[in-house]
Amino acid sequence: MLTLFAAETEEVINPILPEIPEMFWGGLMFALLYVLMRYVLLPPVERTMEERDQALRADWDAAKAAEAKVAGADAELADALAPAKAEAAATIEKARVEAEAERDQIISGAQAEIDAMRQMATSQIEAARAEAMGGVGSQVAELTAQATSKVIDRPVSATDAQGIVNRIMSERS
Amino acid sequence: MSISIFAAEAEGGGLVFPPIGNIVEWPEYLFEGTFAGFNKISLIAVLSMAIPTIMFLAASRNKIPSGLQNIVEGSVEFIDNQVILPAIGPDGFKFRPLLISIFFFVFIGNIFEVIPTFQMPMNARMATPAILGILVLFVFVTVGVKAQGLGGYLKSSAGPSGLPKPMYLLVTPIEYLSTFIVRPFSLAVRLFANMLAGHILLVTFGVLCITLWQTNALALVLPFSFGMLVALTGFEIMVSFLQGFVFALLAAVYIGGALHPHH
Amino acid sequence: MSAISTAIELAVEATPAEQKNAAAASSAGFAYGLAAIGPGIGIGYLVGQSVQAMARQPEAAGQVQTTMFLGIAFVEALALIGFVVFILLKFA
Repeated sequence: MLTLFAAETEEVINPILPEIPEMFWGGLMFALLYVLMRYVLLPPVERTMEERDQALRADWDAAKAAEAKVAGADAELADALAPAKAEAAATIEKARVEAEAERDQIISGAQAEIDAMRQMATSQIEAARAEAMGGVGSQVAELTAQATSKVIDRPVSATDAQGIVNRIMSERS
Repeated sequence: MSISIFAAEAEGGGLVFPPIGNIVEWPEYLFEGTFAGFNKISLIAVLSMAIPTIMFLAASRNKIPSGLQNIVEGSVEFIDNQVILPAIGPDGFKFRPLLISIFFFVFIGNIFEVIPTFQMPMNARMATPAILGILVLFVFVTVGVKAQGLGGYLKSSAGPSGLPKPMYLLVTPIEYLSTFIVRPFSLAVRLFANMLAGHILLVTFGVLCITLWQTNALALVLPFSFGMLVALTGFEIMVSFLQGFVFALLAAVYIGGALHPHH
Repeated sequence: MSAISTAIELAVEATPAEQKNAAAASSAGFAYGLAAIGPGIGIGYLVGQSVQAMARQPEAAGQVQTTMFLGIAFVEALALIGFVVFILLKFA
């Protein structure tokens, strides 16, 4: 029995217990890696990353500054432009007012001329009409007098006929 | 069908799972029998140290990163943003070398699980996880003692303040046990057991595939078994990364707890 | 049933070392199976809640994710200790 167990304990492999040589190498290699990482490997990488970070930040700041500068220039430009703009506006306003006055003047002059011309034309028309009316009335009266004298076989005076014709025409018109 | 299986078994081609010693223990190449016996695990440990070193040395230092420099700076930023800032805070950047070393050492030690001709995670042996767990214990105790003084640290880790006095008789042993024993133990066991389980899983499916290849009768199942093996390999790559991340994160959380006691 | 009786017959004939191995092998399976139940539920609940939190507040996703990994690591440790017990029972 004893020999059996002894043989077993010799044969049995414990897959869990750590073995000294493996611990030694694992520990040594990890210590080596840590020391290298701490003093040799990581610092340059960190420096590179830091430099890039700083370069990025500097670029960013420069971009921000340029943006601010552009905004300032914009404001300056607006300031410089303001008087000129006001002047231009005043000039335009003045010109507009003048033009308006001129236009009004021209329009009123033209209006007066037109009115005068219209009045003259109206009076001429009136005169022509009256003349025409007078001519037409005397002829009609003469014709009427002749016609009437033929109808009634008696002479009718032209003045009588004239009076009747004038009366009728004034009624009709 | 069963006849052919038996025939194969008779020829010695049955499904034989190798004993656990064959898949996790490796003969020593150098210094055999001494305290520094050099075997496959030790070789992986050396590579886990050498690969990050070479990566960091070979990475260019350009203003616009490219290639390897991207990976290196990406990992540094990953540790900064995902581990240090959430777990410790802005005053934790002095632990950056330690946490990056832990992350790379654990991750590269794990990833050898899926690299052909190695196919063995360093952390499937208890040695390295145990060393790292003890190291983290020392680091966070040192940080706590430095930040709060010995008495202050012992007091702040004795349990939440404001309990009635007799309760401390009950709480203090539990808190001390969980802080100084369970923490490093669970750190080590989490890493070790994860990697050992993954390794055994991969070995199981590998052995299954080989056996199915040799016994023609069941070759129909081989594609599924092989597909499972490929999927598990991908899963183990993820687990390798995640374990490195979690180990660094937990170390950072413990350090942060020692640095800011009532955080 | 017959399998169990066969096992008992075998056990009667077996040497103490073989009996111990048999008991260790069968309890190893139970150890891991039982140890996986709680953490399985726990991780499911944890991740579910984290996803809900991330969906409600996507801007806090990074913080939630870190905390989720921490929680998973703590919960998972229980299942892994069960796995270690399995290995211990089976092989040690």
